[in-house]
Amino acid sequence: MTDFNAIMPPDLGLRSGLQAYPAFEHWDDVVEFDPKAWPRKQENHFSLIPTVCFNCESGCGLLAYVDKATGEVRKFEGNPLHVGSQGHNCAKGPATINQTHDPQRILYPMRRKGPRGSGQWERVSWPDALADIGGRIRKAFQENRREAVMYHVGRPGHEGYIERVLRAWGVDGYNSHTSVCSASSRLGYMLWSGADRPSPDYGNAEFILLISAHLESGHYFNPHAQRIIDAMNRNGAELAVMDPRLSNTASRANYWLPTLPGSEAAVLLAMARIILRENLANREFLKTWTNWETYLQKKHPDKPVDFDTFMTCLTEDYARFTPEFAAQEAGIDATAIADIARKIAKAGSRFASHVWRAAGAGNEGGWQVARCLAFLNTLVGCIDSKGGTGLNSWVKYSPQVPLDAPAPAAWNELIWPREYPLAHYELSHLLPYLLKEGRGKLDVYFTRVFNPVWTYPDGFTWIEALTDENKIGCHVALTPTWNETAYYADYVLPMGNAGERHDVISYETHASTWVAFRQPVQREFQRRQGKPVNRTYEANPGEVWEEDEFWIDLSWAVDPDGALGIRRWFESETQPGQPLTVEEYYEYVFQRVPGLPEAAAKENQSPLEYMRRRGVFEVNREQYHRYEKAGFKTPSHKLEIYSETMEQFGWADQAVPDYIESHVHAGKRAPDQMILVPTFRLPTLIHTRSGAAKWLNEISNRNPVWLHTSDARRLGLATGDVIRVETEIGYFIDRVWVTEGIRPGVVACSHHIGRWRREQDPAANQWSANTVSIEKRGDGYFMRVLQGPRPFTSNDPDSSRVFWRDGGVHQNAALAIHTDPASGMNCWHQPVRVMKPKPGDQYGDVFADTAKSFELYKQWLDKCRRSPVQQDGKTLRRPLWLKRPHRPRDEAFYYDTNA
Amino acid sequence: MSFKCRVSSFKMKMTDLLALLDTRNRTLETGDSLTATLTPRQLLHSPAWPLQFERPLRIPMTDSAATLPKQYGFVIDNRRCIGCHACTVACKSEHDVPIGVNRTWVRYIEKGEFPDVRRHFSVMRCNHCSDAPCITICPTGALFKRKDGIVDFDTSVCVACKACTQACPYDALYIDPNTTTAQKCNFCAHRVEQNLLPSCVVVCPTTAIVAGDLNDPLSKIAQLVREQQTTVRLPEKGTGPNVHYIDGRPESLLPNVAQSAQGWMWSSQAAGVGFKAGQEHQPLPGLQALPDTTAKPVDAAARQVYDAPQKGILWGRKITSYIITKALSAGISGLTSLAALTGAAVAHPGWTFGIALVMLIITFGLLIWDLGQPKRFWMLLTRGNRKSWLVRGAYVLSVFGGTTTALWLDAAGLFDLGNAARPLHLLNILASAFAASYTAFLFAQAKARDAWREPWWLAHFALHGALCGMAFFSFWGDAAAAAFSPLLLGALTISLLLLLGHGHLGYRSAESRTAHRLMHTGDQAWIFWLGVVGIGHVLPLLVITFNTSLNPFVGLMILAGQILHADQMVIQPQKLAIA
Repeated sequence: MTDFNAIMPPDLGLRSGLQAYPAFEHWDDVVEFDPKAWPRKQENHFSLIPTVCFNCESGCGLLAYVDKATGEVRKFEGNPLHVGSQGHNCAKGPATINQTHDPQRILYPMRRKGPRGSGQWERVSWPDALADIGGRIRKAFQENRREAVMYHVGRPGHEGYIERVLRAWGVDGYNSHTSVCSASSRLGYMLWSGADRPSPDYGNAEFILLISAHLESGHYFNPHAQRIIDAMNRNGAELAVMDPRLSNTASRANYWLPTLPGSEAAVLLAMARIILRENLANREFLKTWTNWETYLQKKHPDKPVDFDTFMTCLTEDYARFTPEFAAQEAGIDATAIADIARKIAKAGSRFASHVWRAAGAGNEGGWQVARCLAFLNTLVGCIDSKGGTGLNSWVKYSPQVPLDAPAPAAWNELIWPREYPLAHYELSHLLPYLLKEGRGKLDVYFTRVFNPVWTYPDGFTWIEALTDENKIGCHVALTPTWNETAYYADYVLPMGNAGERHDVISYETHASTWVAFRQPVQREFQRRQGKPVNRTYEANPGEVWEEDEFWIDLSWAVDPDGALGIRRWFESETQPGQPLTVEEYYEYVFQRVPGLPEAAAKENQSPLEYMRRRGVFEVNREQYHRYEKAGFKTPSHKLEIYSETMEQFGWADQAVPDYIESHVHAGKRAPDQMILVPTFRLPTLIHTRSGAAKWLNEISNRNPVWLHTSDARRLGLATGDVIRVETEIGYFIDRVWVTEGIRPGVVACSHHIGRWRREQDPAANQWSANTVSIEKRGDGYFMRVLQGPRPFTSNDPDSSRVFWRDGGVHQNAALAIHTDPASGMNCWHQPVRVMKPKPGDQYGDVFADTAKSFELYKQWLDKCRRSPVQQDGKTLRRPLWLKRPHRPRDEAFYYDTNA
Repeated sequence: MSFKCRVSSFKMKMTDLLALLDTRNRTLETGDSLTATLTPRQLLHSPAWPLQFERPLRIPMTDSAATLPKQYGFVIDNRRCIGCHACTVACKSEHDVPIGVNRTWVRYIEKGEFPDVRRHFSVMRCNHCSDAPCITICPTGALFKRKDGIVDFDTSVCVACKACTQACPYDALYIDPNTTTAQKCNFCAHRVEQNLLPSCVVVCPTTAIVAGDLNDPLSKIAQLVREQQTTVRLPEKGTGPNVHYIDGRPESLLPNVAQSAQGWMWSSQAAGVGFKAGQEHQPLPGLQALPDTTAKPVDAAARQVYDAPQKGILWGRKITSYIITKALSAGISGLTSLAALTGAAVAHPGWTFGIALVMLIITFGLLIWDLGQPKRFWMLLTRGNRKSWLVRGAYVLSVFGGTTTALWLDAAGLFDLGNAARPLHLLNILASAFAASYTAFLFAQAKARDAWREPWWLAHFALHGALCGMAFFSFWGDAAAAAFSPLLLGALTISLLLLLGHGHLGYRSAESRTAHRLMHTGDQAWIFWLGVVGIGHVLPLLVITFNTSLNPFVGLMILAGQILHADQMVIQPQKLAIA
């Protein structure tokens, strides 16, 4: 018998005799008493089938309870075998069943009837949809316009799959959401270490510094939260949190530093200064593992190249970052800065830290926040140590995929414009502006679980681009649920939720490398019942497909006779002339996971069977100090305190960790402007996907603007009052939430709320969506809320019980974009004027001037520094050593300088 | 050998107890019993003792593992809770709990001033009390205690009288709109039966919820309760709650301490939930609406920023009406008998007894109509829980109905009681007095509503009967009415003195005081002062004093006063949040 109390490390009901999960041996037939019939003992039999959550990026394990009598999924619990989530989940895990049974989900492929965006749809057959879309792609390929096909993903988590497809197509068409999320932090981390994300070992840490909200929301919310809380309660670890808003994370912190947005790097450098001046740094680590010689040679060419001189110079170079200076910039207490610096030094190798989204995503120069934080990591030598901060590239597993075509020789400038040689990565938020500028057009544009009209700033510009058929020939939305972007599609193709699709997933959630398997649970159930189906859609609800099979079939539709050389990458190896099957694909993938075949053999199973049964495999755990073998993946193989790459690409002024004054810095704001922090997530929601989850919207359904008591007094406002927030491109009308939990001078509004549909759009997400009207007004667009969420009729009786009428405000539409010239990050924070409403303003109104927005785009474009690196009349687009997802061949990294 | 003490339903740390009693050197054997009387001061000085406890304690010492039955319970470790609501949603998933109601939920409190401000989270749910008031009041045994200490629930025998929602001081019960029965956390008893932990425990990312047998000294939960400072909610209610909070804060765990707002930081409520799903929601006034500063929040620095939706007023006008029709029935019948005994017989007693019976039938009708499951009303008789005053009340009304029916048959000339009439009149007077006033005992079982549990309600209910009866006879307009005048004067005076004197008698708790203040000074205080006191008491008193005749006009005023009083006393206390 498996004792899951032993597997789940924190003592749950230890010795209460109660177990967290039924023993693994019984998963094929678990008997539960029906909770509704209780106390009458009515037995229900379930098959427990592991899969992986499809809400946030954590990739937590789920166990689907498939009713053996009906084949229906009854509920989702956690998967105790999953080493990342350890059988626990956040609210979004169990709410997966809401998404599965959403009465308004899309069950059949739809094609638009009237003009794009007119809200008229008709059902279409899958073969017809595939033939049409495939034909368009084939035409583009035949006309040698491979850059006219683009795939744009919101929620990834399908390691390696789409990259393989795009390589087979020979297309540089991978676009992502990174530039509205983590581009800044990635650049900051990458310059130091050659890895773009940290992998903190919170569970063993002594001191934790978060510039993020990992106890409240993303990104690895549940896996991180459980380890941070455990370290604090079990080992007495201390937590410091930098956030101008009192997040739930900050609420748990020993030190809350409500830093003024944009000042974070200054505070971190002041901490570095204390560590240096008080001789608390790990000298041995610095001497062995940083490129300190380069630092000296470049910064102090007149000085002798010895380590002591380096330490002296370094200390002097950062002397200007006094705690008093930082405290002044950040508006916080200088003693707290010193206290934390000393505690970080004391924790030494057991210092775990993270910056994700937050300050990085908010500010121009936010990438230096990550760089300065990594500077602290380096000073105390906690890199990849037990309880320290590792690198994702050592922890996350990247699968080997079958039938892998060579990398394309193409470079798509709609995704990687040449102005941004250091971007991390795709300039995804610039797509509509680049199209507007006439830099290209798209024949076929796939959005996959991606909703920029609502999630991105300046959504009206996205609507403009999506409705212009000259810019986008065909927009295909691959999504489990209707959304604001899908309203402007030509095809809306229903894709599976967590229990309705195959994906292989691996994330650096902690000091362990794991691979997890998302699978269509009803398909797996039928297989276990001895009635296997050939395709996932045969077992899924309605005609819901999974993307894996979609891309295989679409590739066949693109190249039906194999003439384009594409079809061969999607043909079965065992049955030539037949399409590749997902079984073959994952058999190949799992056969190559180190240690998995051996583990499976012990159970007399194939690796695929093992993964279908368990859903997860741990490749290794608690491996530390991996840099000792081969160094770091930087040009110097050291941690780079001085980046020659930055110097080479025109950023010599930012070659070392430094403080860049943000675009919302006091000096750049008008005296009457406040800073809007528009980025925070709620613990219960996850962008578009949670809109269909009734239990999540019941808990969170509006997004008032947080305003400090003193600001409210100054403005004569009280909780519940309507306010007008004016941005650079427009305004939104919201209500006020007066609180002590935000720094004075700063306002905050969650970007998770304010879903909408127009009256003509399909009835969907009515748990969360306002009904709105959108009209052109001058050079912009005006949105008015006609009605908040209301009870509605459906096959779920709960839809008649919606007790909230306030669906919040779509603030994102009024936000201006600001593209960081180095990282390519959209810097979210906004300088705003907060005031009482003007006559005619109504709660929920949003206006944005898209012409102004375009002007701002160009102004920020002017800040860019194009690559100065020349080679044989060609310009190097991007440092070759820097990572690029879906990387083309090296030859594509150059463009003709004179072209 | 390990020892466990049980003090009524409360637990105490063994080591501290031993230290306190200085029995460390004593050898204790299994089965030993130790009796000690502790003063409040001694208790206060025990570092393990979190809350006030003023009674002398008798502490039997036994080998717990050998003799103590299981008592499942929860520890909510607020050092670990991050307020993520996973427990809320996992519970919804396990039990398919409808939108608007919750078996478990998370309350957020924000406390302090920037930057010394923090948000605190508390998981709320059924406390699986050792002495559960919901079980006592439940008329059909739908709520019951299992051998393992879980307070479980049987939907199939619930009549949805909503009494449990008034009895539970933790607001753990709700009326489920799918089943139209009460529901609550049952510790996932169906899982426990399969040796599985409750869903909320399993899902919790930070293992902030610990479940287990509090009586097993080797269990994790018992260890936590033993070694950590823990708090239970409202121990003074005497329920013996089995949910223990580590780092429990009064502003989170006690009702009406923190300031509340209209709507929460990321949610709002615009319609009724549960039993009232879909109905327009009247926002509850909240304590800020009270002008009296003494009723303001205890902790002005604490602000409630998230909570579950409010369920609204679950005992409404049907209950108000039942109090009045019952008072009329009892008053008319009782006074008719009284008149008969004193020789001042009322005119047409056949009619008055008959009208009393009609009122009684309407009373039963209202009670059944108020049930969410009216077709199951017979379960009150077949499955009657004799501890519940709902059931006892049905017995009382039945006896009263019997005596009145007999007297009506006699008075209407349908059956001659002969010599039995006189003792039956006497019995009928007693029965009608009890019929009018037993509701005070029912309300006293509503442990969630301290305002209903004040001793003066017994007198008020009795006076309702007398006054309503006399109001009726003011319309009857004969000699009997005149005879009742001095009685009326006395009853009105006592009633008025009681109404005005509550505050001087002292309230049983702050909660009761607040509810009474709400009645006296809230936004509907004019109903109390103008309607109940002015029109219902002062005016009739003046008229009678100067006129001495009981006329229909006076009767109308008295009746109006009684109706408004019943209404205010039922409705106003329910405007306060229970938990």
